[in-house]
Amino acid sequence: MADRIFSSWGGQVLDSRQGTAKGADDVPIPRSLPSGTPLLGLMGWDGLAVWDGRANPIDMARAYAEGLVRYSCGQCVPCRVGSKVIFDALSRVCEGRGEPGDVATVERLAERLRNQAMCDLGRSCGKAFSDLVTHFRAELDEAIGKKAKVPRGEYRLKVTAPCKSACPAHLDIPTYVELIKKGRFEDSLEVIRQDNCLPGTVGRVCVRPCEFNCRRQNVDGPVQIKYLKRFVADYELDRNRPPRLPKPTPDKEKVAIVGAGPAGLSCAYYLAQLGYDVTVFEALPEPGGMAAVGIPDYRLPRWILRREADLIADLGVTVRYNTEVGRDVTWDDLVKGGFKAVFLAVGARLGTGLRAPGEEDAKEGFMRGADFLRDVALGKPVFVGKRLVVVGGGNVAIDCVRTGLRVGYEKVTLVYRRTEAEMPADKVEIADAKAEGIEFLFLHNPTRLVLDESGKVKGVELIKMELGEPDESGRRRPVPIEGSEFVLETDAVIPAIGQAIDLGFLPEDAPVKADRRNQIQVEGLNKLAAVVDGVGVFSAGDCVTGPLTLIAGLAGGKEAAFQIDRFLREERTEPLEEWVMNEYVAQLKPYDPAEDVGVPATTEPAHIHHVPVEERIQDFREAEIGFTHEEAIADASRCLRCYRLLLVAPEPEGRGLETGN
Amino acid sequence: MINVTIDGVRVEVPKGATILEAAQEAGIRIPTLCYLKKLSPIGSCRMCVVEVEGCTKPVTACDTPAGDGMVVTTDSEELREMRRDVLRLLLVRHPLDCPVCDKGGECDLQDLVYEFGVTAESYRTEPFERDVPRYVSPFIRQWPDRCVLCGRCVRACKEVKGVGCIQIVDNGFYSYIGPVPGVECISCGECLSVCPVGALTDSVHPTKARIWQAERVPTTCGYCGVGCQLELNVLNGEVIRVTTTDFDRAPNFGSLCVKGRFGWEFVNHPDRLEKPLVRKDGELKEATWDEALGLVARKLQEIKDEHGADAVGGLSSARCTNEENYLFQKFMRAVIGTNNVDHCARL
Ligand SMILES: Cc1cc2nc3c(=O)[nH]c(=O)nc-3n(C[C@H](O)[C@H](O)[C@H](O)COP(=O)(O)OP(=O)(O)OC[C@H]3O[C@@H](n4cnc5c(N)ncnc54)[C@H](O)[C@@H]3O)c2cc1C
Ligand code: SF4
Ligand code: SF4
Ligand code: SF4
Ligand code: SF4
Ligand code: SF4
Ligand code: FES
Repeated sequence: MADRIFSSWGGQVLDSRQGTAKGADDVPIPRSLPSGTPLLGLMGWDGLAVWDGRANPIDMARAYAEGLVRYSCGQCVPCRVGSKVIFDALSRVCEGRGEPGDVATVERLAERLRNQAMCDLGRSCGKAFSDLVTHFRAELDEAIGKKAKVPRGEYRLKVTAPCKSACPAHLDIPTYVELIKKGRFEDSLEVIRQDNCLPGTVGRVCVRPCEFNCRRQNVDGPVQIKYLKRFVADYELDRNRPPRLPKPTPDKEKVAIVGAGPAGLSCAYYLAQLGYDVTVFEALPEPGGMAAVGIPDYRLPRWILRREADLIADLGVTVRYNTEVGRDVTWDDLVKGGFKAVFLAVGARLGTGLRAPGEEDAKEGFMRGADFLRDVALGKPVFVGKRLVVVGGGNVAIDCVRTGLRVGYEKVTLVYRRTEAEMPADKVEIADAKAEGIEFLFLHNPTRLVLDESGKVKGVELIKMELGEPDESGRRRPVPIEGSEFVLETDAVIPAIGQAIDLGFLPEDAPVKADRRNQIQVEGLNKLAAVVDGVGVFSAGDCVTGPLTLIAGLAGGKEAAFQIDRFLREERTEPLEEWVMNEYVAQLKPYDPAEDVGVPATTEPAHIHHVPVEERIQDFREAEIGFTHEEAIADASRCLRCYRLLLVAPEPEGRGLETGN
Repeated sequence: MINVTIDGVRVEVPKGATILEAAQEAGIRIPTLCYLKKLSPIGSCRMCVVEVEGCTKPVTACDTPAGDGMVVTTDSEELREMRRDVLRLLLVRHPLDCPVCDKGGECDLQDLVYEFGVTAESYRTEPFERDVPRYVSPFIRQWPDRCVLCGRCVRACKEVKGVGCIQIVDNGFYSYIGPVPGVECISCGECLSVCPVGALTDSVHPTKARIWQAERVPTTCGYCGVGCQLELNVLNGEVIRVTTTDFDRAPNFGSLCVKGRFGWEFVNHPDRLEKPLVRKDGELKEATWDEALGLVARKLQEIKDEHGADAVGGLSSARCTNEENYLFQKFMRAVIGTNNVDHCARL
């Protein structure tokens, strides 16, 4: 099979022998890992691909079966035993001891895996073995007939799942959900805590990319992954169970972290567990960053966040609150103060304006979204009138309108320049806001603030919009309708259209680079921003990516922690193999929205409970009530456990990844 | 209620009922192994696969909720072959132990293999050795190679007893039932009672007997007032085991505690009193029940006549049944005529 180019990936068979593939470039999946290492071949949930004759599909399948034996959970018969029977048969073939019945055994058991295995690990692996037998039968027969040894290759294996791959922090969702199904709630929480140090927080407010990539939605609605996480976090709290966390001793180098937001806390959590002596500098009086002073309390009670931050402090992390870097502590204190690494996680704390005339002159009734929410969260006085107009279509805008209602505005209107369909805010949030009586004004945009002589807001001039051609984001661009301006009377206007990054703490000559939006520039997956006299300066979170999400911040902080560890241990930065594989898996798109899963649609997602509107808008009490045990177990039972196994055969030189430079 | 058609039979079942429950309602048997009514279904053995109209893949009846208008086929050559393959795969590492296995004659695996006419030769793995640590309870012997990993024991321990001290350890082919670190077994034998095969056996009494040799005498556990139902397995007049095979029987539905299941050996003890003793000339001598009871009645009457009924007090036992305790207090109140009656469980 010297130079056979082959692919069965993506539902289409390409084979150089049959003339359907001319060269390696015809194979429809990326040929190199994100680290640059080229691949010779690959085997996974959707079939197999060979770019180079040095990859032998029979040996790849043997190694793939070995992987399945290793990762099979052992619960169902077709996979537990079938995988071993397949592995032993393929091993015999590879060792020149193949028997005539071996191919038929592999073929038959592959079919059993595909149709009869309990979860999708076994099911999806079955496809690769079936494809092997279908397309490489001659090679298998020849190896058995000639009793020829098949050359052994070097491979890398990766276990993933559609939900897991979509989660920025790659939580082991299938495992934690299955443990809930089995009633092992604390074990489930332990699994979550491996990749997420704020389970109760994220379990309440995550934007849940996992659920949008959950295969169960192809059947009858996604598994309620977010609320299940909340459930196990609450279980521990409600019962006052001691959290299962290690008690590390800080016996390694000192590391400084700027910002106790999600990214900073997450980095501290891992560094402390690795034994580093961590100090966090935080300008605010409390932890959580935007999760504390952005996300309002009715979505995320502050004590949940505080408790989870306390647990991180209990790992031996020193947090210095009310300490603004650039004022109370200088840049030099960080890079020359004995810290061997510095992690910048300052987020994007500045509210942005309307960019409409009048805002500079407004003396009362004009507040930027992030500032308004922060002041409310910190208990500072905010201007309260009768009518409030909030401008924007994202979650922050929704937070502003619902908060406005709770601080005492009587009529609150949200103005958005596109239609509801284009709103980036979570559909659930929009529905909650509507239920609370918020008025939505779509296809309108502010053009000017209307002020009285003293600078008080009297109203806002709006222009009507219509949707034109799609822009680069794929959404139709709103275009103003000339001459349609009118004034909407209001006492206050809050723009909630973004946050900006504040890098004021950095001296002019700091070697940290930022782009025109102040986003700190780092070396891709390595998170390294600069090295100052041997001190590694790393950064992640909103200050690198621009305003994003909590879970992305947690993931960035974790990745930075492991890079900092590598930098301090091995004096180099290099993405961990795990992340390289995660990135590659994402390129393969493990979730297929068009897939027919094949199970009947006879369940429905568990529903979260809400405190009645009249009660909840009175104050900042939590608006949602978590699942009961029964609801959690029932929902967890809907999970299809879509683990998938990927095997790649990297170019041999590429093995230098872990040892290179 | 929803309507489901199973093999052409239309039945009405409550929403949420599984396909298996609908089939039971229709009087149609679907072969199962890991399923047990009193446990949550997990769908791991894959014996109960059925075809559902409109679904591209077979589904497991035990853990799939039925849907309104669903049309199910429970038997076809393809399904039978899938079930046979489950059994063939189970036999890959299952020893030929039936002749010496405690479970022989009442083993779900033995029955299914027999029903489906399966032989062991179809699939094989390369030989391997392994060490498995001892089971969590000394009263139970574990035979890991006989285990079909149905997980019934694990679920029973967690769901029925709320203990959760066993789990599947290791991965894939090498999985076995092992301890959960830090959680202690209470030796209740729930796991033993639900194991469908001979992977967990009772290690209390050395004498073994086939199901058709020993007599199973249904009785009530004498340890406490709950009144658990159990079966004494009696061979040649000697108790050799306690079993529970009727999981529908109140009040314990097949569950027992360590005493009821394993603490019965005193029954066979030579020192155990089998006849009443009466002290004659300073020495306890065997007597008839009439003689002994007559003596007690006379003495009680004498005390009552001389000192009044309240000079007598009655103390009953937690090891009597509820009915016996009821009779006892009735006896004290109505016959002796005193309210001086209490129970050792209060001491
Ligand atoms: C109103 C609002 C609602 C949101 N809702 C959601 C949601 O529902 N779900 C979701 O996933 N995400 C949500 N987000 C986004 C999420 O909160 C952020 O993406 C996340 O907090 C970013 O984490 P971070 O650690 O990078 O930055 P931040 O959370 O911004 O933390 C940065 C920290 O650094 C501190 N800091 C900054 N400069 C200095 C300095 N010079 N010295 C000392 N300390 C400094 C800040 O005080 C802050 O505590 C929301 C954001 C906002 C604003
Ligand atoms: S991993 Fe999935 S397919 Fe494999 S044994 Fe477990 S449940 Fe079965
Ligand atoms: S069904 Fe379960 S494993 Fe599959 S994508 Fe959804 S949560 Fe993940
Ligand atoms: S468990 Fe059943 S099949 Fe196995 S040896 Fe015992 S009786 Fe035979
Ligand atoms: S004896 Fe009881 S506690 Fe022990 S493993 Fe079995 S079921 Fe669990
Ligand atoms: S020991 Fe028995 S009940 Fe437990 S998994 Fe094995 S076969 Fe099933
Ligand atoms: S009885 Fe349904 S899968 Fe075992």
